Amino acid sequence: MIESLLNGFLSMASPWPFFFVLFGTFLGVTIGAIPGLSGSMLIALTLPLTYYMDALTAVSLIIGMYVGSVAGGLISASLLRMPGTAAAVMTTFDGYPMARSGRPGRALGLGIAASFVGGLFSWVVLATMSKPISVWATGFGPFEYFTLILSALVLIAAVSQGSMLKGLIAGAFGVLVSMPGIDPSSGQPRMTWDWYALNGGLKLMPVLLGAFVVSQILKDVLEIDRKFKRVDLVDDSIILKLSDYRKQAVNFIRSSAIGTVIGILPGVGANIGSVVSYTAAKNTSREPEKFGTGHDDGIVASEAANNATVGGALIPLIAMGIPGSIIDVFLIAALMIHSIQPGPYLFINNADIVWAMIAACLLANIMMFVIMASFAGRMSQLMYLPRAYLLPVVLTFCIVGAFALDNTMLDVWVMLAFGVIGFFMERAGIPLGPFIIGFILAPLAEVKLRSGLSATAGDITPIFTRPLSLTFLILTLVLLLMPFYGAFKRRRAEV
Amino acid sequence: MTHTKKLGAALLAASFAFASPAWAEWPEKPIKIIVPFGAGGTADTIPRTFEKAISAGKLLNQPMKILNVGGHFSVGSRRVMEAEPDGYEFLLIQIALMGAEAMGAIKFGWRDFEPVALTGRFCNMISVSAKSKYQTLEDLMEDARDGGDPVLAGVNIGGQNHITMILLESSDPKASFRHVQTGGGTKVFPALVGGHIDVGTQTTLEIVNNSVGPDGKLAPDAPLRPIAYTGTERDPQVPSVPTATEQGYKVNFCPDFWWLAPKGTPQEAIDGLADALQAAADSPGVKKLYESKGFLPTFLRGQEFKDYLVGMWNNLEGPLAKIKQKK
Amino acid sequence: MDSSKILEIVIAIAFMSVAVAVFVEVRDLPPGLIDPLGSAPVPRWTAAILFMLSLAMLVKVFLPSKELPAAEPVEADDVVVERIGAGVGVALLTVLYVVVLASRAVGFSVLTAAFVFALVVLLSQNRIRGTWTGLALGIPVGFGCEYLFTQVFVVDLPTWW
Repeated sequence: MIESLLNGFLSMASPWPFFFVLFGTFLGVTIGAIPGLSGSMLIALTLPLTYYMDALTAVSLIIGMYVGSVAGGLISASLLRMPGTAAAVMTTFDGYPMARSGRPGRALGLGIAASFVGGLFSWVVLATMSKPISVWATGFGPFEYFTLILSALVLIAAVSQGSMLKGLIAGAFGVLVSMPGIDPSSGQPRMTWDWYALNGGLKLMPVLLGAFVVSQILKDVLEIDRKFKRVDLVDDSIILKLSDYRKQAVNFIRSSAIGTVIGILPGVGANIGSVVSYTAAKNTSREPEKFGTGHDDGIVASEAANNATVGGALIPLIAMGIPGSIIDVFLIAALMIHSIQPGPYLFINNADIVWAMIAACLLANIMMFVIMASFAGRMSQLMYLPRAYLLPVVLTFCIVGAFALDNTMLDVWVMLAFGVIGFFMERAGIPLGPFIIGFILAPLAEVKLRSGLSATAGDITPIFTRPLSLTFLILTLVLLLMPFYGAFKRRRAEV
Repeated sequence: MTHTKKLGAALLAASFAFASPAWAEWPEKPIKIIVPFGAGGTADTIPRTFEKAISAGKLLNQPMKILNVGGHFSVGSRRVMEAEPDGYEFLLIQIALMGAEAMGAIKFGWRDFEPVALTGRFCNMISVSAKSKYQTLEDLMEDARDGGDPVLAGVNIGGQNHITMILLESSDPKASFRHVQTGGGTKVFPALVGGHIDVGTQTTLEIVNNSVGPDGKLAPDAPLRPIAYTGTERDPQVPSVPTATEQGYKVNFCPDFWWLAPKGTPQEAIDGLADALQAAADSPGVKKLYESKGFLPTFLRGQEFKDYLVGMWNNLEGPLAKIKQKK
Repeated sequence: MDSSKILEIVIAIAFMSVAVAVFVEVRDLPPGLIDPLGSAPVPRWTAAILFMLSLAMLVKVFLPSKELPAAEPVEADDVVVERIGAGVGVALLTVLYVVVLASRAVGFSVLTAAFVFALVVLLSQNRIRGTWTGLALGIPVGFGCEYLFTQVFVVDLPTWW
């Protein structure tokens, strides 16, 4: 393993991949720092371009952007109380009060250090655990995959913001949106209303671009008059003292571990990781009342966890071919463009690429730290770019990007439609995360279920007799029933 | 290839370019090649390699634009079928067009196009897991005949691996497989190794990558065991694998890549593109591609290509009736 | 009734209609060829689930809800008045842009330059500055994109030269 990993680093040491990790991380941090632009936007718009690169370069670029954008969000979160990416929401709680009280440098410094530690921690887990997990996952048959995806779908609905009911609605709608087109299991068109253009279905890119980018543009346009209060970087150095690291050691490790584990859960990404970790830090703290007022621990908990999810989320992607987070979906798409199939056999068929990906992840974390520590001050100026100039350009890129992928105008209309749908769903408190995960995972789950059933000629019993699929099934049920149990307990407590 | 031959090809193309006044008019603007698949993958690499050879050799005096129209191939194919037949829009497609028509999934087909040329062909290795009890094709077919535990064949419904399995099944009237939707290309390998299916197909390239040692023999730790080759003769890269025909099962099926034009396209455009493709097929770039993919350098055009398509359809129509959707 | 509740009602009804439409559409799907399940059951079950869940959401709107936990205090200057006009304007311009683009009547570069210009003018608060910035932004974006997407990357966009 050490040898393969060294080979991975060697391939990263060649100029182009190295440059692209650097470039990607830089772009990621920059875009992450600008409110209204997000990492998924950047990566979605980059995806059509990666076709013209080789697989290694494409993956290096995207991993750089991923790591950079999750970290970059903390700049505007701390200085503007405007999370640059959704993952930085929890950072606003303590970062902004601290910055307003005259210590913006320290707020950024804590965030940057925590991001770095979180990234390193999850990287170690990624480098050591992916291979064993992938070996374990080679035993997964269709029923295991089906039940695993089922539990992932319920899980994401259960943990996303807002009510579980709305999470499940979003998930079910996502599943339905993935259904039109030629049904891969029968080769026949379905839900196309006899319209040929729909044979290809509603494609991933237009739906993602619409739900995440266009809906955000719409939101930004409506709030175009929003004025930001400036907090200028006047004070102390961004680099933390060693004593700070020592004081935060427990928090660093706990938050990183939480982030990594949450990252591993399929479909659940950075924003959930930071929520859970922040709550854990608050609940275990001796001074929980300080949270939300500019407390060191709050920033560390949020940022260590959200960056730790990146490495964690790569584990199911590499080991099982299931996206650990929404951005992972783009990574899968980039790999598929180059005929690389993520999943348990990645280590056998494309070992060089996997190890290079893992190496790129570490490299990107180091670069992120260097870039943020040296340029965070200057990058904070980017936040004041007038959005009246920014949004039209982004919207244009979205339209061209959606069209460029398949030269089909339908894709552009699909994107615009899902922009509007996504906008209103968010307004009504229906989360987009479960929608996208349902949209992505449902086709896989359906194919697995139906191929499993054709192998057994319709016999469903293996789902209950195969230990792993039974475990996942029980997990799904528990996740579904948990909110009811919680409500029941609360009612008992009230009586 | 010899220099004289290369020169000859170039001269041939050049002479066509000046042969008739009509030719001087076509193409007067860039021509579009619609690839009805997403970016990446073999069906995309082939036209792009040809495009490079054509522009490098100046075989057409206008650029050739390769446009991906992904989703399902019926979308891009339909677009070309309905395009203005002015000689500026063509389609690159493969056997899936016939598969989907035979299944009743689409209501148009290869007859709705004008054949231009066929470039490159690959045959398949019918393969089982190295742990499988089937040592030869005969072992497998015997099991498929006895009506006991069903033989699970991993297929991508309507795709070339499914057609191969259907042809194998129908080469013996008593045999029957249970077809399991596994997917195309790289998805068959994990299903075979994981024991979720009993038999599937792999391209020569895949077998060479995953199971053949540097000496051209099966590696001792190979995860798969190829038991039959679907070409007419053994593959020179893996000569140890006998053809299916040698083993008494008439499965002779090698998918290839077809360049088609909308019905009504002017003959000079069809000939012009076929000329350019023919010259490009001899270029080092295309040869290198064929070699790296384990392809046979087949080239057909004109009547020969038309006859080939008719023959292919006649061979497939009967066996594929099995998967025809009854509404 | 506040606007968020109305939105919930509208969305619940929209989702229920989607579910019904799917239910009707998959009714005629034939049984599976090689799989025992066929194409219809998964969308049918999902549509049924979506219908039930949306119905539950609809019912919940009308149920007396428990008092919500107090929202975080919002700083007075954080409240923004939404510019509905800007949103509608952007939507209309975008639809117009895509329709013209799809007709292939106008070259991509010119069309895009005009689109970006119009959006910048619409969104900026200072008309004069917006006009100049719109021009300064629209022209390079329009022509740059056309170069990038027709010369570097080959995309099927209409061009005038």
